[in-house]
Amino acid sequence: MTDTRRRAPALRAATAAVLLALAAGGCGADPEPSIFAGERKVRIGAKSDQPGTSHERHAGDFDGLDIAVARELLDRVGAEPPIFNGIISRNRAPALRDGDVDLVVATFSITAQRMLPVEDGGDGLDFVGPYASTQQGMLVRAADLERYRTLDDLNGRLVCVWKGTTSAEELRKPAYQTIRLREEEDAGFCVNALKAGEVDAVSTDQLILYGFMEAEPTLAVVPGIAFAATNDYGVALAKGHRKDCERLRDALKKYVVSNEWDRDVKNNLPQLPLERRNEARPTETEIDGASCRDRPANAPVG
Amino acid sequence: MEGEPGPDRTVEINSSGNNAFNVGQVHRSTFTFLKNVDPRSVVARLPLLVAVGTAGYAVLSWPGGPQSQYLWFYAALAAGFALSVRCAVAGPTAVSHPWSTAGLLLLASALVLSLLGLAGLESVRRGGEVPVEIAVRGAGPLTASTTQTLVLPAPAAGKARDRLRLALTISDDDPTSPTCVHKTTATLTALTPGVAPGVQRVPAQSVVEFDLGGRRGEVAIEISVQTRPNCAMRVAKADGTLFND
Repeated sequence: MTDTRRRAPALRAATAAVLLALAAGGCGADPEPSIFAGERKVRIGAKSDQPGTSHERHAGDFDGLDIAVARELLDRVGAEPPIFNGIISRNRAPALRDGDVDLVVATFSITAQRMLPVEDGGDGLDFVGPYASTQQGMLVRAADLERYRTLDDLNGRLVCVWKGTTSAEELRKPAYQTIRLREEEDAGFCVNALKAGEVDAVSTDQLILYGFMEAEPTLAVVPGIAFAATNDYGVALAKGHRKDCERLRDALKKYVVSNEWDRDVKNNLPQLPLERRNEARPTETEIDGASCRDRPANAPVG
Repeated sequence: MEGEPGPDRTVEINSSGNNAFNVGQVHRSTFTFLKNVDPRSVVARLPLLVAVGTAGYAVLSWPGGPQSQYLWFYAALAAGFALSVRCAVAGPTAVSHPWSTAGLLLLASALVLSLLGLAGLESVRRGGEVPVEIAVRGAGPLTASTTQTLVLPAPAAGKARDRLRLALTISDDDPTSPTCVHKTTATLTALTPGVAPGVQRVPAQSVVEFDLGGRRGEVAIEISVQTRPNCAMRVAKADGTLFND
């Protein structure tokens, strides 16, 4: 009896501790820490060498369509202005998974592979997007523009692409085997090689190419060459922040139908033809179908 | 109560060696045993025999298909088996003379449940859901300008059903290229006469049903996609299930 009496308070205390822990686990602990919470500013990975879409003019001073979109969305969800860090294409997914950045806004195409969870063999990213859509194109020296009208005119030519991009993957397909490829680390290397006459063309998304065309008057986008599936750019974040993702998605849906989206595209890509700008604007259905998911959603039927 | 065998039944056969036995003694023992068997104990064990027989038959003739259609079979057989064991353990007391109402009820319930299980299994075997492999014919990826054909082979004897349920998944041909799944729908057109609906438009991931119109042979359904230019898709999954209404 004495033992039982001595043990009773200890048992009661242990029970209370367990119940408190359960209550804390059930109600208080947040399994999804918000990237917008706390004092720390949101860290965004952005390209530093793509004038018009994402460019670092001076250290820490970024501009371009990606930058405008990121600032607009964070402003719409009530977050502090972010910090931008330069990132190269092939490091975009690892930087998010390793926690080096909170978001990547870097002309990052939404693919099924990238949005699939890591345990299912994917890259484990959530996307908010598309915020802009574009097909692949060709940038050539303006002086040579007359030589190129269709993709066939690139047969036997040396085309520069950069690693970790869907554009590079596309041109590796057998359908383009007559085109010779040179792979570089990132956009800047390819553009310099084109200016230096080392390659005949640079291939990537048309939105990016029109940005280079604005910055480099000696270069021009071939108007008649638009190929491959449409690239849909998304804001990427590592999985595990679904509520943040959904807040950004809701903000994006309002943004793309607003005049602010038109303003940002026109200001950053002034050479983009109106027809291409209209093609670049996503619909709310497309945003719902690709945002904050492990797999793309079904398209509405009818 | 030991029985005495009649003189005409006694046949003495002698044998020798280590395994020597006396057939006449065996005969007598069997007769004695049979004479001593209480018919009530045989009746008490009958449901167990039926339950075990049903289980054995199920193992040998399992029709396959989704487990959900076997719920009734499992429930009836399990209950029948439990009651049968109870009957068997109780032995003759379960059906004590004069036949007690409770004993008879137990016996009848055990028997009926086991037979219900058997009937449930037979029902599934004759009309339950049958998984079928759907072949996808057509080379290359599915694009806005190409088609492929889904082919349901003629079902084996006893596996034909009235309807086909098709679980379809269309994915990007190359998952590393920009995704087109959320911009893609498919149109399924029955090429085999009598299959309805003749044409239906569905999302990339969908479950659709066809009335086979009593057809027992091969069924072909053409699939085309409505998608953006330059999107290359493929049929990642086409699982078929035959079933009756």
